[in-house]
Amino acid sequence: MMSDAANVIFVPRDEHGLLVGSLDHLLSDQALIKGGWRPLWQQLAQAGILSAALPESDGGLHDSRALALLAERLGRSGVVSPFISSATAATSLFSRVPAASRFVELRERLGSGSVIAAMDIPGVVQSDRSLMTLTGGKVSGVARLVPFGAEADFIILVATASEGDPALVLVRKSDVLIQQSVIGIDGAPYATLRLDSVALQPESDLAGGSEAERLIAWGRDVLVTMHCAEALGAMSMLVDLTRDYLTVRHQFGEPLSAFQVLRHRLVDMDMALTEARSVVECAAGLLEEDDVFARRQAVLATHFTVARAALKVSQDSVQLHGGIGMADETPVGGYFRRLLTLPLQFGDEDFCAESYSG
Amino acid sequence: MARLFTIEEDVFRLTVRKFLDDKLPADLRERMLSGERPTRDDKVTWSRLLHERGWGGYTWPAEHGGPGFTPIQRYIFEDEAWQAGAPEVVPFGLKMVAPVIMKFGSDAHKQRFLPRIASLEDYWCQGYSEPGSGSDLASLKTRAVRDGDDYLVTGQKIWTTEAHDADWIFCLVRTSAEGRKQDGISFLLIDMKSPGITVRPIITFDGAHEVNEVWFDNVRVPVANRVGEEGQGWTCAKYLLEKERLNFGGMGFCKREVARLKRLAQETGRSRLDNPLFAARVGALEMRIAAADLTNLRFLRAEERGDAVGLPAPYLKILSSHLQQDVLELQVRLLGRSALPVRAADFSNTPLALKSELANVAPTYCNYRKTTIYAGSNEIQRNIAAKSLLG
Repeated sequence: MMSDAANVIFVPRDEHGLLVGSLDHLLSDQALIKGGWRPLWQQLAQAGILSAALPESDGGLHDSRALALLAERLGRSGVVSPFISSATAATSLFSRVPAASRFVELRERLGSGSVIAAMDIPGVVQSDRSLMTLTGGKVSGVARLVPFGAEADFIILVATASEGDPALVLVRKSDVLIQQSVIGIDGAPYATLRLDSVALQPESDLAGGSEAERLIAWGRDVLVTMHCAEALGAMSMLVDLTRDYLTVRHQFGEPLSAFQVLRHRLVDMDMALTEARSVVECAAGLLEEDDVFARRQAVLATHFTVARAALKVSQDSVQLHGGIGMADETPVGGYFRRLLTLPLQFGDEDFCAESYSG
Repeated sequence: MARLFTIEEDVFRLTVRKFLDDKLPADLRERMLSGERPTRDDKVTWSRLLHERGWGGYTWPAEHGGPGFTPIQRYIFEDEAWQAGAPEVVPFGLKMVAPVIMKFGSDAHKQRFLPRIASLEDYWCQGYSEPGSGSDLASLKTRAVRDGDDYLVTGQKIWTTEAHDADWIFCLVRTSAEGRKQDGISFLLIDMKSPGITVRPIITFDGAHEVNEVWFDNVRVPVANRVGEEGQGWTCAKYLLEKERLNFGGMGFCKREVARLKRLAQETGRSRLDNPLFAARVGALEMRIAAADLTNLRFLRAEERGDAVGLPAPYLKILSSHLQQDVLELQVRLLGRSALPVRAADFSNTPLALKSELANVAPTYCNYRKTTIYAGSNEIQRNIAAKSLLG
């Protein structure tokens, strides 16, 4: 039994440092980063990064604070991978569903990187309600623009049963028809998946009824929080890039960092980043919270704060870079585009403000 | 599962809550929770209660007579006190001059002044700003000329909060015009009853008498009342500003006033919370407060383990000052015409309990424009932060 003082939010743990250190070591290999997510994925598995979400009994950490730190470092690297859906949300989910022992082997395969899972939890915005139905043990419908939907070996979906109850289901790649496969604004692959009367096997039925509701809400909170953590990493890189640029770029015979208006704008970016870090660390720590309302409020506040900060930091980074900030070869643009996906996938700050009732 | 607070800290919170339940007078609590600003007597009442409990110097280490709270305990204490409706403590003694005396003062200073600060027997004010020296504080001109064992102090301070209530003032004075302007400044403790001091009120545009001009005309101050060496005043001042900005206290105010905003929305029968735009504004504000509050807590955890993270002081000052203004702005927007009268007696058809509460809303909104100006304007805070980011 872990002592109470060992896991206090905002107090770093030794394990975190070790894990982040080994990830940073991998990410310092520029050639590896340039190759996209696939070559990186096996390295992540070997370094134990992909199994971090497993229960302690399976060699994981079972610590969502650690997962958020990993997502942040990956966000900072600029590599977009299935890490969030596969290695955080799905892997954690498979040890939380009823009769979780069904998934021991699948969890191991996820942790070893030999399979990946995609996850689509719609319903954050009204227009994105699940278009999937479960009737007579068969799932039919469409899941729209699922991140890494075509690359995944398994897909976790939400379907509506005939009584209106939600169901959480697991389907295999072979059950799914890829209706459309696109590259998104962030350069990541998204796929619209169609299921035509796919018969559920015993192991595909993850949860139903109130159990499903609980897991769907939890899964959504994990996805949002980890996306926010990834955004935090991207923002931290943008603030560093912009700060460096202000010191090296000269105009009117002086570095840009000599001009007060630009200095103040950088401060405001860094302040937004500072707040974003606070809320992400808090929400990550509360993901295991039993009090669903407290968890939900913390995640909403995080989503809101990060969504605001992401727009501010990404827009101001481009502005403070000036013309060169618009060039595709400048790294700013890649982070700008990735940061756009948080509001696009999960809703913008207004959505959070409407939903919050403190 | 991770927690924001340890079990021990939760227990401490309950202890504080129990103390507030038992001791904080109901009348005082009600007035504070309805937005009234505390009088000198209110502040004295509160400080005496704390003193009796041994918490008079609640921000101080045990070696100086404080309870030796951890940074997190201080945070919890203030959070609970604000929510319960306690008046804000007078910061000038407890949180401003006391740390300077502890750090730079002599044993005689510590013995003479600290106990009377903890009990609020001495009410302090701060003599920093001058008519020609606002943001450029180091340009200050109030002179202190050595005359035997005394200094003779001549000059003018301005924007001196509660000088009219104060027994003592701590002042930055110029003891030398040579060299770097910061190096000619000294830190003096001056008895407000000294001959040659004149206090003139400044009425701010909310109608309140809170700040003053303080004039010094050959005021005799013993050299023994200088804290630190001659010329070390700027070092003391910078140290004090650091102490002042950490744990700014603004979050407690914001949480209390958001709660009041929501209560007023119900009680004034306007049900503005049913309006989606207004409700979203309230939600956004609450989440901004939560983010700033967590940032404060994160910095305090770092302080607790002796780490320096980020730029705590300027950021907390900027964030909390804006949030205080924004919550009061929403109160004004909520009330509409009900925020027009500024005397309780001018409200008709209003429940008695609400009259003075409503009358305070617009003046307090006006009053709190000060928060982004005082304690180093927010622009100065950005200069400080930029220097740390960019050199």
